[in-house]
Amino acid sequence: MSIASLAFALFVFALLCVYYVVGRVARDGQWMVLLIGSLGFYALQGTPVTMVVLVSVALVTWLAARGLKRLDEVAAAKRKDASDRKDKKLIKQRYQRHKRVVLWGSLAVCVAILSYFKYWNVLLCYLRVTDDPTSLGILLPLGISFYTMQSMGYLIDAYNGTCDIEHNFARHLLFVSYFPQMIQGPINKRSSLGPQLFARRRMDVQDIRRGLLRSGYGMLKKVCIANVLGGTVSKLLTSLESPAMPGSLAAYAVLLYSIQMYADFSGGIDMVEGVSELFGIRMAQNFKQPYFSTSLANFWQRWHMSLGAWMRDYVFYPIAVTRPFRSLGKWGTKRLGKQVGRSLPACVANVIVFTIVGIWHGIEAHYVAWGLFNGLIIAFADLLKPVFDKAARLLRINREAALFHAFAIVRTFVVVNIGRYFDCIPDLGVAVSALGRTFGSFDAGAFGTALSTTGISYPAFCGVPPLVLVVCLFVLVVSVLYERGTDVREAIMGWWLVPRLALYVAVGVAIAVSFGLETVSGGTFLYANF
Amino acid sequence: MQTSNKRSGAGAAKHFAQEGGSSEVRHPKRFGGLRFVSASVLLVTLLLAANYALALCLEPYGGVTEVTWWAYRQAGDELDTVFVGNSRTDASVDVATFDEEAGTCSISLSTVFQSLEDSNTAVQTALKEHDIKRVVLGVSASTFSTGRHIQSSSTFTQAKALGESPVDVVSDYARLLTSDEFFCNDKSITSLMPWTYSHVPYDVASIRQNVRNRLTFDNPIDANRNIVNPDFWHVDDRGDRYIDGEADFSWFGCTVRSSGSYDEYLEDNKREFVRFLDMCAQHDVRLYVVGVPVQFYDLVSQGKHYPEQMGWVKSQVEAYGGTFLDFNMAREGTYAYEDADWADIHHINLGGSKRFSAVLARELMRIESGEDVSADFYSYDEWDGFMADYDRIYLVGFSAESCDGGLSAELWSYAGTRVAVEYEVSVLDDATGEYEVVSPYGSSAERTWPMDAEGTYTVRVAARHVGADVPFERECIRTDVTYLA
Repeated sequence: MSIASLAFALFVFALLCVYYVVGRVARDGQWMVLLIGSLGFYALQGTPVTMVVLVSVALVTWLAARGLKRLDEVAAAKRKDASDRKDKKLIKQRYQRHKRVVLWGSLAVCVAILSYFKYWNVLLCYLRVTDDPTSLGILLPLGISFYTMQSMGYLIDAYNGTCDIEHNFARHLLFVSYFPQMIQGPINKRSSLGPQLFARRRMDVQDIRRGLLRSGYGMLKKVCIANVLGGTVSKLLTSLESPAMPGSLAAYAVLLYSIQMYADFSGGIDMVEGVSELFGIRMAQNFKQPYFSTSLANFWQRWHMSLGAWMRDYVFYPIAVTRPFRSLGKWGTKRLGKQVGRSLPACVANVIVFTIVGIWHGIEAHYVAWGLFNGLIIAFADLLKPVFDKAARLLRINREAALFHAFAIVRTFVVVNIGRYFDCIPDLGVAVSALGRTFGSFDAGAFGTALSTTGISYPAFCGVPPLVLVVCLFVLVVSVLYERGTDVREAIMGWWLVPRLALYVAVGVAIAVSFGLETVSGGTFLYANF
Repeated sequence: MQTSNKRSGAGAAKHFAQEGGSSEVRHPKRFGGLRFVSASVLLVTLLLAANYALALCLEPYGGVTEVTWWAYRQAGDELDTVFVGNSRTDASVDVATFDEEAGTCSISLSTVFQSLEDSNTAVQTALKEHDIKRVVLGVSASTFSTGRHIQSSSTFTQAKALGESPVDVVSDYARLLTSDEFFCNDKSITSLMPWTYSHVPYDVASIRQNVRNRLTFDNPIDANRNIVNPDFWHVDDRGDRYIDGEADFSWFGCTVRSSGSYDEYLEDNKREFVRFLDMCAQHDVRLYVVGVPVQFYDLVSQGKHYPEQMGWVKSQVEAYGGTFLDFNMAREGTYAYEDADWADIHHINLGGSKRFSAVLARELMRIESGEDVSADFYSYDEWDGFMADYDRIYLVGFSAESCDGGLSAELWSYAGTRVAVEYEVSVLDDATGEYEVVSPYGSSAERTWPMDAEGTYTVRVAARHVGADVPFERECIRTDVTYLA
């Protein structure tokens, strides 16, 4: 069921009606409505197998979290009975070991399930056991990456004692399967999403208005930009397999991919976040004007933020505080100075984290290279920070100046796009070759001829119809306003009725016209593949 | 986290800014429920009005589907034969010729990309409103391998709605919107806006002309003759559609490699086909399912799938008491198309449709007079013999790309199974206007040759029987071969 369909609209409308009616008559029934709706939505999307996988992940993490709590209780009771401090310490250590076994065991089950569906066939293909990465017919269950990571996050929080343990499996199942997050995230935390899911709430018109506005804005990005550019981007990227294509075409293809990817992913997130807001539930924020970032590290704090936060909380910090990393820091301080000693563990942890981020996107070599690229750039930027600071002082560069800020944004955009070569070109060799051509043989003069051989739609506009440019401009203006701290939705809701309705009708017409301009089927999202 | 029922006024609301992180904001104006509903109704009304206005401006008045249903509504009570099918059927059948030969009164409700579901709807409508004696469904492999097409189905529903009762209109649209193919994807939304797919060019002159047509002509047939951007469909006085022009066989050989490949017959289509047969059987009409002409390359590229799958179609038709005739398997003397009969790679032109319709009428009338016409056609068991008996090179094509220091090309041809083909490759010299042979006649289907300078070239591949004493039998010319060093 596509999110932009009559079926989804009717589904949400019906669920909303039941949700708020139940909220009127039953004190504690709304979350059950959401659970039934979410499971129904998921059942319509997939097969019995995908449903079994979802319930299995929820069951494993629920049982494990309960087990952790039980171990804590038993340990506490035994420590209470113990007479001396030494015994208490031994009991604590023993039960801590048991907890670790439970944690790692259940995490291993989750990772194994995820890996089987995401990587097994691709791995067999790499090992030349099969010729085709889809030969086993393993269908990736919708949202498996997102709900598995969310469940694992809950488990780690339970282990650390930073969230409440859920006793009711049905309630935990709702946290795992809440339908708006199942398409392409975001990855929510139990401590923020859980209480909202289980609170009693009455319909609030402001929530509905804000939700509809956000969904509409997301649909504008998704339909008018991503879907119209999709076919063009695909053809341009395929054409890069020919070594005769100039670097200028490669740069153009990657630039369009960047725009398409942002419109598709952030548009889709806006749509599902908007739907969630109709129920009065706010999910984790996933984007914060990422293309206004001033460094690659800053970009990753603004792009797919819920994944970044997950990696930070559950991979980066745990790694950075391990004994080898602490030793590395001490070694660095002693041999290379205080600054390097302080940065080195974080740099290595960053490389590891981003390699995992790459693998999360896919086990293929180009994704690993993409992750490594991001990790290494961030690591080196951190390590060389004193050098950059000194250079700025010597050259008397005012880093607070608006011009430098603009330069930093452009520089970061270029770096992000260099990384995109490895993300969007599925063959690592072709990606390296295309990147080499971009810097080695840009050949802007051959751009037109090369473009004409790609068979793209709208060749007169280089594959970008004027409507897409207008909508891109609109998105840019909205992004600038958000960057400057304006809540655009609130501002629009405060407009006088006539211009407000005119805006809505214009957006509706733009979306309708774009349906006719689409170069890819509009039902799927790029990030649904991950 | 807040619950809405505890809010007092606007100030208590806590919202996330859309992309800008969390922020405390105050609503500028509290929006009551009634006001929200009123504004929503107003917005929906405005959107519907905008949709209607855009349809009037952008949707070509006098489009072929609109003409089809308008012509049907004008038909008299004497209507006794109805043709349905997709554009191949629409182009292949000239109802005037058919009626002249068969003495019938026919109408064609075939439309572009018509699905079996829409064929079913069309026939049901005709059976309900007229005393129909004969139903002819034109089929080809694409009838069964192509999914339902939103543009076709939405324009079909829209055109059918003109002149229908409101109950039927609502029922048709409800069926369209909730159909398996569209309900769960964005097609369910766009099906209400056919103008997004089928529109005049987005320029002022075209839109003005279209609006003027709506204001000037009181029927879509007259409007069709003044239509903006009329592609290649034309309409005769009684609303029957035809295509003018002749296909250029020296060009489209390069385009058919992918489009002519075999596609699996869809289970949904098979089910819908059986429903169609059942419906006709229940109405006790004479049912003819006719394999309309497709080009020989299409049969070759489907290989043995063609007799297997069409064999299934034939068996189903006969099981429901209908008659199946595949004119692609007609024996010499019964029917054979010529190059001049084709308008493009898929469709027969007006001349071709007159020839085909006359043959079709004669065969049907012979059947109705009790004759056995099975000897006029190869059976599907004779597929190998049929392919071997074909002695022509039907089509030649090639693809070319830059390679180290030159161009490389892959050549192909569609011919009978006993035909041995040889090829010659030449490049147009712009200075002299003559083709210069870069790879002489030979049987190899892969050629490479050096190029001097980057640019776009015209390349010609000629083909003939091995050892034939003619310069060529078929040729394919591409003007868009690009060489990049």
